[in-house]
Amino acid sequence: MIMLPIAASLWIKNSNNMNFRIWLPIFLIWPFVISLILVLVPVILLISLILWPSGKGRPLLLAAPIMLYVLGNLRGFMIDISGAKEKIFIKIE
Amino acid sequence: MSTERTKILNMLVEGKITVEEAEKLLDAIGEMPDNNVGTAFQPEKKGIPKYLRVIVDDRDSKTGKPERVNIRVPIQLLRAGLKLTSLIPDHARDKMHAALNEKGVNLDLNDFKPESLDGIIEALQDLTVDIDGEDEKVRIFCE
Repeated sequence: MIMLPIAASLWIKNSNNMNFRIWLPIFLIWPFVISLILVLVPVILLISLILWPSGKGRPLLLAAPIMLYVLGNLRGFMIDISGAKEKIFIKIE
Repeated sequence: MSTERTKILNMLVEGKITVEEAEKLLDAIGEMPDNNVGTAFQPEKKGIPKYLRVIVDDRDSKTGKPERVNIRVPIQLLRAGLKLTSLIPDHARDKMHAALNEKGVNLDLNDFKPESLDGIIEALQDLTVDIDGEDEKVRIFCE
């Protein structure tokens, strides 16, 4: 079962006293993304049908669901790079 | 290895039984509870790993202070990445395969199927890479 990511944390700190920390509520964009997909589905289907003989229709048709699958599986992804004074922290939860 | 298994293998080596017979006997033994090994000593079967973890510990070459890279990648993302490869056009895939072959990597993405990935993921639970240097330490494992 795919658990869509609901939030992302980003923390960048460097030696020049820059300390940037943000928490992004990703769950807020999902309704917009789903609405956008619903709107675009007929267009994508039509373009895929037109491009099908050239072989580009299939990748176009599969692109959206696969990209969603990748995004949906980003939950739990984390990068934490800590130096003496620098820090980069990205976490998707 | 239990004594029964050793006996069967010895009989096979001596030619007293055929490979098929040995296989049947070994299967039969496999279904029986092993008296020689207590349940307390049986290896605990781990669950399917959820994350691939890469940890690199190093020291700053100038200040000597510790530095750490800690990356956690969900295993499901690997599966998704494999699906993403299906979007690569055939001609680009062939070029990629040729380039990998040139570097001595015989990896063909066409050979990768979701079923084979399941096997790889299952095998990953036992994967641990430990590299210890003078100042650097790299650990790759699944959790």
